[in-house]
Amino acid sequence: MIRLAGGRVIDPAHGRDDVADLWIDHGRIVPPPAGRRADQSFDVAGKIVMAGAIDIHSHIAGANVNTARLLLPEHHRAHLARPPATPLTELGWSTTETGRLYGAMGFTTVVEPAIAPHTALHAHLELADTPIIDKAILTVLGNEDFLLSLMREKEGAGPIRDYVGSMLASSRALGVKVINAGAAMAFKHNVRSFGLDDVVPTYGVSSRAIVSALQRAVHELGVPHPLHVHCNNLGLAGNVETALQTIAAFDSLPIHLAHLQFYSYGTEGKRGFSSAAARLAEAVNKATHVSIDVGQVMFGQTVTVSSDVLRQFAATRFAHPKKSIIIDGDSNGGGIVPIAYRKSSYTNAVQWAAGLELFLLIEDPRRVFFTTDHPNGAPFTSYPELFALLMDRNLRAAWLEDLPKSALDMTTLPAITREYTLFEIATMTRAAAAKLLGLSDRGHLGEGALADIAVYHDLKDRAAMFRAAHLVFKNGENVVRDGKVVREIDGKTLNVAPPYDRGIDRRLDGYYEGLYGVPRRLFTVPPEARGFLSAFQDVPCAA
Amino acid sequence: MPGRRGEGRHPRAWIEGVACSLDAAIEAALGRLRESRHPLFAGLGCDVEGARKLVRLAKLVGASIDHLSGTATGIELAVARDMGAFLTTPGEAAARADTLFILGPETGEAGTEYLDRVLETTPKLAARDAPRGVVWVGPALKAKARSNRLDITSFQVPTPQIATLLAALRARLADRPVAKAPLSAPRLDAIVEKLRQAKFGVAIWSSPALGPLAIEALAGLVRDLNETTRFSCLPVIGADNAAGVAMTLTWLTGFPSHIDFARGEAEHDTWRFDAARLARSGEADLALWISAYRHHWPDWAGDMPLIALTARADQMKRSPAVIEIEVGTPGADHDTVDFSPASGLFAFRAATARQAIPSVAEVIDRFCTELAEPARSLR
Ligand SMILES: [Zn+2]
Repeated sequence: MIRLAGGRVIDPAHGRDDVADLWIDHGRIVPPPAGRRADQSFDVAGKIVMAGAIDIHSHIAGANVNTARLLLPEHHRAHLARPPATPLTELGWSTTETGRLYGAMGFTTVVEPAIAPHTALHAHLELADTPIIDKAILTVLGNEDFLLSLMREKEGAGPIRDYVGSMLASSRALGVKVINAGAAMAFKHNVRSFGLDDVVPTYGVSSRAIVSALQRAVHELGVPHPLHVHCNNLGLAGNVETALQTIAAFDSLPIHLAHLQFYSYGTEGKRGFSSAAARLAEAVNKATHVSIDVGQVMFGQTVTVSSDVLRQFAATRFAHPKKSIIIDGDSNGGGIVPIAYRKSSYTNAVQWAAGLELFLLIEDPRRVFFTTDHPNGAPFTSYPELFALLMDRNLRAAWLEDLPKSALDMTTLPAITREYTLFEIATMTRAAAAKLLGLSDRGHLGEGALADIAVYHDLKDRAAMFRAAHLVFKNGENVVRDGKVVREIDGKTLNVAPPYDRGIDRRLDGYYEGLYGVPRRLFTVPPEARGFLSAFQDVPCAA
Repeated sequence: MPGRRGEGRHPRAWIEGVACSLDAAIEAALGRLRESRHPLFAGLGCDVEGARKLVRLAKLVGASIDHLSGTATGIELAVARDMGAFLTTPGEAAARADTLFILGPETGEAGTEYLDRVLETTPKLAARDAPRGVVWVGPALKAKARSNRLDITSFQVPTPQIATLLAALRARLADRPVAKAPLSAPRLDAIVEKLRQAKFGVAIWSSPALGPLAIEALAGLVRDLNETTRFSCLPVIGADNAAGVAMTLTWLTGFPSHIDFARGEAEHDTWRFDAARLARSGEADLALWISAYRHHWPDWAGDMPLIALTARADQMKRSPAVIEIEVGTPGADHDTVDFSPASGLFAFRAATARQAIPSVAEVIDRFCTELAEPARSLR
């Protein structure tokens, strides 16, 4: 039995912010025991105690991420946590270091949000080699011939629901993501731009219809995490209209919009590129069916890794260094395009400001999530700087001084005075994140919760505070002390397995044989492979 | 291979060519590893699980790893890393490509098997309803390509001239004049026209035959074709799960090969950590040679003492290894996850005839257990 004595316990799930002891037994949080002494006691007086943080959207594993590692061996330096002297950070983004670096910051659960079903086994192999944290994948649907054919033939919601259920099972995923719905297929037909009402050639199915069908299927299957949507027209000037249309179009059921910063651009100003984040934040505030994550841009070299192959192909012209990989995969696609976000760049400064505007203007921290869309906006190792920016308007003012004035004129950021509290940070990165994913066993410090706990020094320098947690417990085991990993344990992989009509599996078996001439099991994560993977934990679905 | 793999085979091992117990061989290998100043791990013909354990062992003993020098996968990765790439899957090429651009001579066992399948498959997802177009450039046309469901144009070009040809095609695509080419201008333009007319074209080749210059030229040509149409590439997957091991090493260390752990953390340098150079210069003083898919040896085998984990050989005469341990073949003797040339993906394969012969992972794991400092709880 472990006792964390006298810390300031911030637990938004229970509306709590007070000084108290926390007790851990058998990997869980337990009530203070009567008449029993702790086997081990940590004096955490004056420290901040939160549940382990949860990252709902970070590209940490899988074929596309690994291809980025191959393309950019020199990129490891970009992942150095600042300052670079910590012994943990000599390597950047191997799976091993990913788990360790997340652990050091007090994160204990991370979701890899973009895994094409056929590459799920690859992703799970990588996640099994990612220590300390628990993890999960979202499976990417919306471009498969099988699905689009079901829609073209108007087979109705039942077969689509069963198909989604089957794909969740065969890829061992926690939820479903749709990425520029239909665009990867359209790109194979040489389509170069694709909006919400564009139609996939030969199928006659619109992007809007695909999102709608998947949103409904996910809901009907009872999957806790709503459909996770990467909208059309990412990165383009004026694409705020796409985001606003998307928010309006799918208002009958919950929906999660990923990396909204990349859709918060207007066309104002001499360059025809401005921040429309304030308008977008206002729409999100009103649309209670919507949750978002930001995809904050931070300055420096990074690499964009995206299954939005149509958009990534367009971005290859701006690659830095000048080399990209474009993948036409089975059903899905992918693009690996390196990029350097520069403070001196008008565009990059607008992007940076727009992200912060979304964070600061969306009022409810339960519906806005903390991401840099790692590594697309910045490596996750830049989170501590970002926490600090959200919590300190003077720090923001200091950053603004280094940025092009012409860019700042195109945003409302300089006028925003809001500062996040620790309670709001804990809401966004713990309580709300767990709720969004349907993980009732974490994200809070109530009795019975997993003892995933992060203890921080209460430093004025919030970046320093969040960069190196004082103590981190995973399943009640002390894994980090003062930012150093002291114990590497194997986390679990979280997945859902909603019931569906297995008839669809027989149909799919025949379909795969017919199309590819090889058995479908080559494209799945079969139960017999579990010895090579992390242990799975089933997350319950609504009945 | 029925008949060769009888049930109830037992572990076999040899020290200096003399049969011994598995335990004795492992003990002797451990002694060598402990004494070695700078061990080299090479070959790495093994599955994902084997590669995982090898990385762990390399960290424990400060080894260098090179399994890609001179291999198809090594060449592909080097070019992609310099130039970028357009890539597709065996599945998409089979199901969607209305045009196949096949380059060079025979493509090895896996390549031949795949090509046979593709050439006999109708591309059900192709954008146009016509026989699949095949542009065949190489020393000889393949027999299977004479199917009547295919619209074949073949051009006899000696393999060493394919790089020049591809550069010439690229120039013609951009409407630039060509001074020197292995084919006449009208024939060049005929190829360019077929490629340009493709709705979804796929170039297929095997890199050891073609070499890096041709692959670079092809990458440039395909990039240019994508300005107006869709075209992608499918290099034929090399032997020995090289692609799968390269990927595993990449996620575990950040690098696909040419890695060194002498200073604790992974360092990467394609010249310094080249296996042949380390062997011949004497910088490495011991090699751990892994070859679970087939029985073969590196050409530098005589330059240093070798510990070998190898697949079963029909005749075990004159092994260059000081210590040799027979290991199971992945997917035959034990369950495995490795890279499938049929799908271009990692796939699980159950053992076809489970044997009591240890896997690479099991042998390496025993080394790790003996060499690891306690208190570590890595997988
Ligand atoms: Zn993303």
